Amino acid sequence: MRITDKMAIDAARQGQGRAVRQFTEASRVASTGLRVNAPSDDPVAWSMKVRQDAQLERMDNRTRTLSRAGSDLNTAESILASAGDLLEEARSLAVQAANGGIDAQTRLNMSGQINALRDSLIGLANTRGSNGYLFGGTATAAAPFSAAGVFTGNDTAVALEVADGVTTRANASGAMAFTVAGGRDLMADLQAFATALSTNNLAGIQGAIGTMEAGHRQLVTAQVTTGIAAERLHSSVEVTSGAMLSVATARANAIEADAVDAFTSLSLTRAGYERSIAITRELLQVSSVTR
Amino acid sequence: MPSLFSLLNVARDGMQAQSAGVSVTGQNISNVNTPGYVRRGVVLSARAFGQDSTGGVSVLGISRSFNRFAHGRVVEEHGRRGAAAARAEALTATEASLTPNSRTVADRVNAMFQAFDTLSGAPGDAAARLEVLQQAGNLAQQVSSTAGDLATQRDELFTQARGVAGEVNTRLARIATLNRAIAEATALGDAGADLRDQRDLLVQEVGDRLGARSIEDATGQVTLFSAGTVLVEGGNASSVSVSLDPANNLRLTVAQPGGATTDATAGMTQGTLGGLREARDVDIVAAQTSLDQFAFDLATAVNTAHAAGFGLDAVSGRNLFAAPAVVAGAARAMALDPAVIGQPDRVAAAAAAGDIPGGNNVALQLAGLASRPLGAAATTPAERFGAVAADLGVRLQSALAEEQLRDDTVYQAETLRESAAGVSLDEEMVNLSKFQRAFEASTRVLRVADELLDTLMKSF
Repeated sequence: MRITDKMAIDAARQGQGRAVRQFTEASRVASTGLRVNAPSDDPVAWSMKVRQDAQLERMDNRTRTLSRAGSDLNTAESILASAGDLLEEARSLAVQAANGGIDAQTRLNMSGQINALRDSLIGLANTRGSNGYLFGGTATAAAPFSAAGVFTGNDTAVALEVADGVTTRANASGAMAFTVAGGRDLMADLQAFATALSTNNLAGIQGAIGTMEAGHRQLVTAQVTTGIAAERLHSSVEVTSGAMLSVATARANAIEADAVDAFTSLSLTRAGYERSIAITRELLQVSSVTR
Repeated sequence: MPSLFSLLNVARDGMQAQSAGVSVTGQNISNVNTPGYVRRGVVLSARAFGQDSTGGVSVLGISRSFNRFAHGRVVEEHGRRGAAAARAEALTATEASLTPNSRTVADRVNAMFQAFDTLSGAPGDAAARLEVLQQAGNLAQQVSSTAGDLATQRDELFTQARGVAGEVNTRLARIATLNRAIAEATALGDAGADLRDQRDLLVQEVGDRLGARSIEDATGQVTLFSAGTVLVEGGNASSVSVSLDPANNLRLTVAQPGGATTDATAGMTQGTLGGLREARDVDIVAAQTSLDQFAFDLATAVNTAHAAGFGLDAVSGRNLFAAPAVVAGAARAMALDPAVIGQPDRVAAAAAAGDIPGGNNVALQLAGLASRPLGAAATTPAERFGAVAADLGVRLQSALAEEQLRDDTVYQAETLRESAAGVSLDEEMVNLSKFQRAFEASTRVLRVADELLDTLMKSF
């Protein structure tokens, strides 16, 4: 085959064009660390990346939401523990007041203490969390207990997703903890106890020992239930965080470049490009025109 | 028997012939970089030496080293490469529109579902409600602007196609003019090499833009076929025009010199126009259709879940997105429902009026859409968009591979043609020396003849 000057130059240009394209691509991969930047780089890997990005976003947000709800449940658990302490204190006062040696004036004074405990309990039951009142069910905007101790909230569970399609309760039940829905209406029991004290009703006072104990057990049960729910949320956060790591690793494998491969490729393509330039220079120097 | 004087004629012929050789070589050298130039050669012939002739050399003409088969292959491959390159270039722009580096529609989808998820954890929170509106609005805007970009790109490709058709017409007219000039030159005994160079280059340029095939007749004129019809026949050229059919697809019409018009759309598969048509009316349309279906399904799914819930104002039945009536155009029309714009309280999170403000069942359902199949497909919303983009990625990848393949086949075809028609400076340098030496030798013959005559004259 006849070889003309144009053929030689075209061959050099063709080779050099290919070398510079490969070098540019290798530079891009090495500098960004990404093998896949656009769908056309690897459509399958890009699809996987989109799916994994969605998973990561979902799991990341889920961990934040669950952490916040878990934190609220921890607060509720702590509130219920404090409420239990109040009931324990009320039970102690009931035991003291049931002593036959206590006079009516002392019992009247003790009724003031019980009213104070009841007010404290109402205050605790009206504690706010990051998302409104903790014990109002879905009625989070208004205090669930009136000053008279009347429950105005509800027992609707607020669920959160802990995994795709799997939900768990994420709010404490004020109704089960403080109202007759859980067995005893604590506010009413304290009110009755205070009334028994102020009226020096010994039978009522003796009965209050049992109701205070029952109320305490009710609060402990609610505290345990809330603690378990909080623990479930926290463990879900941990599980989700672990899953996020797996998904992030899979995402990296799908679209990120191996550093060793990337820099090896960069070196190889640079060497190829340099050789291509050198060959083109040689080619252009060899000519019978100058002889 | 030839006379001594005839020796002068032999020397003269030799000098003339070698001068012609030097001229042709110079012509080749000066045109070494001229596009379409086909190398020339001087055709010499020895005069018969005999009783009545002194011999010598005569210049029969100038040859043109043209290989029609190789040229035909180049034109054909240029047509294929033109199509692949135009398609790849168009789809590269489409890919950039569909998947910008900063935030894609899939990212916006994720952000919206993230906002729903946040709302499920804080259904009464005003900031969480505002975030839902913000992210849903961002998604709708990006889907709409992406659909708008695709539509704009189709408009631009139409404009580009019309421009290319104009370029084709210019070349068709020049080919017809050159055909006439070549026929006249041929009739006068001239090969019309320069005219042929120009015409064959124009044929190749038409091939680049529309694909082409040419057949040369005895008069040197070519009949040019393209898009399944005759575009140039002798000195008559048709003209092509690109318009839009009722379905908004490109239509190629050929107007024959006699006034008749034919629809050559089906033959528009090669060259830049073929590539533009494939990208515009097949690839981008596929992306538009998928994006419309995606937008329709997403808006419908979100609206269905949202309408079942209650806003903080205890009102139910509201859409979050403006309800799309039909699939076609759903992406371009995607927007927040006017009833919820700027009204975070109207975002539904609770499943019952009694659950307000802490009820989050609907917010949970909305957030859960992120991991549930969307519409009839078995993929989640983000995956659905990923599939739209991946489909385009496959098409672009295929177009780029085709372009690279055609680059190689064009290179091979051009190499084959260049091998026959190209100018080699090395060869021309040798030819230059060859003709120079021969010219010098002819002058030597002249000198010898002159000396012989001088000797003869002095002997008297």
